[in-house]
Amino acid sequence: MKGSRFKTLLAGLLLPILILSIWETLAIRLQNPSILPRVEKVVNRFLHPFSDVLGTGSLAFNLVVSIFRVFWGFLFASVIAIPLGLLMGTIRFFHDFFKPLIEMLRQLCPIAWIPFALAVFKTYSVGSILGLRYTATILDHVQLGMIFVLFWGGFFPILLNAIHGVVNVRNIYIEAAHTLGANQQQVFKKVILPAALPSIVTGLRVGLGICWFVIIAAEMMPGSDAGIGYLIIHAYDLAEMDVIICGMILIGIIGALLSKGLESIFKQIPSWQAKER
Amino acid sequence: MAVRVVAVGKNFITEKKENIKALDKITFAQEKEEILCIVGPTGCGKTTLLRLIAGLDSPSEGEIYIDDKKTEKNNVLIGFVFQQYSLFPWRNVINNVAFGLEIKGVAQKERYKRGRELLQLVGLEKYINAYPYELSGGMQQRVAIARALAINPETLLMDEPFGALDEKTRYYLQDELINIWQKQKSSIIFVTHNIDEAIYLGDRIMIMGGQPGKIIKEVMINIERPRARNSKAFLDYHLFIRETIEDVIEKQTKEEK
Repeated sequence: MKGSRFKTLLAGLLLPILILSIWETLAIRLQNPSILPRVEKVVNRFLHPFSDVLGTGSLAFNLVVSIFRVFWGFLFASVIAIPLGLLMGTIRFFHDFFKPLIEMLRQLCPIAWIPFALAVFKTYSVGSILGLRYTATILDHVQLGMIFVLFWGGFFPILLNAIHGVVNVRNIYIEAAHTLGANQQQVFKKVILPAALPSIVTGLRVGLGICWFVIIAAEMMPGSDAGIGYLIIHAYDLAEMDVIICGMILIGIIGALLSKGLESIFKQIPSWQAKER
Repeated sequence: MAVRVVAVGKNFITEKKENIKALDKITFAQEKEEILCIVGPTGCGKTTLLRLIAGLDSPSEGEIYIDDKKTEKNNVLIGFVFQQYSLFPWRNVINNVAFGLEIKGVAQKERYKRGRELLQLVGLEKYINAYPYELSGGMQQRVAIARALAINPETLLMDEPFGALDEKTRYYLQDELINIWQKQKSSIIFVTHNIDEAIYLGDRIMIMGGQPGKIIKEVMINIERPRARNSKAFLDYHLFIRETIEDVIEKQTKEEK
């Protein structure tokens, strides 16, 4: 594809600009900010990220809370799902042992875990687990229940992609390694693991995306006290549409950044896969 | 003796639970430094036999000895060049070639040195840092040969390694292989369905055929190298082997009727 980066950027900006103009026109016509506020009002929210919004804390604060929760949920999901996936992909027994339960749990939307999580973990947060009463920091808002729910969001895509990666390693690579003197352990470390890595990375990316979906929904549910999702649902109760729109745009931007960030971390790894003949 | 195969048979159980005998009472021995070619029609068990020697499968009957040691499954240190491309796509060329040495625990400096020598041998020293997907099919097979030679195998097993290549590349690689063989003094078992290729390369040709696969005939090729494909001797061998294979196929089709 030819053309400068400038042209690409310009082409990508056209549609947002068009939508903004239609929005502004409609807003002026409508004269009802609780349905459609003026663009300027939403922009104003973005320009003051550290000032309080409707008594829920600042935009930045709520954003960091959401990201922090996702980080922990995603981390636990990865740490458990990757080794389990490798195990299930390699050893038949473990596959048969876990598969039925996983197939059942997989059907559950992570949000369905919320009542269960609330009942089990109550309002325990990372702060209270560390023995801190009330730290007035972000730790108070990273509830174990939230992490638990997010765990299920990330767990299955990561697990299934890890299994897929291991199971689909071309047999010829394993056989070639055997003829070159590799034993089972060496085959696992030097063939199965690197061959499965692109698929594992795919799982991580999908998992992180779902975690970001789930946190927003989870924060709208009972038991939530902060976060971008909470901010949006709270703003709805107060008919503050500008906050709602501002929150939605933020969710989109952060989601895209998270995905890009993970992609750039693993940029080198899967490059061979697409080009493999 | 490089490889000794004694009364080897192989049965497979198909998905329909039928017991198929793929190989029956195969016995032969390969001399050291010999190029032994195996030809035969598709489905005669050539590849199966090669996989048994490499320890990728275990024989149902009989024994296989490499350098007078009996083989066991997945524990045979032998050079194997596959028909399909088998280089590890996540490793660059030098790390592919040095894989066998890495497994053995050879230090990086030393295994890169050996790897470079081997890449020089196959004429690819310029591509040390390239990845397999950046190489042509012929180049990939040359790297695969270098990788197989890195472990100094008793025998190099080659399963139609040039089967997927065009004629020109194939001729070129046949000459390269003879070249490598003369320098390395390795023994080679070369499976092919291409009679021309077998006569060009082999000191001896084993013709396989039938269902289950058997050794039908053995032919010594007494032509000096480099061999001319249009010499009378070459063409006579070609005709003889071709007729032998056609006889086998004809007999087999009659039996099936």
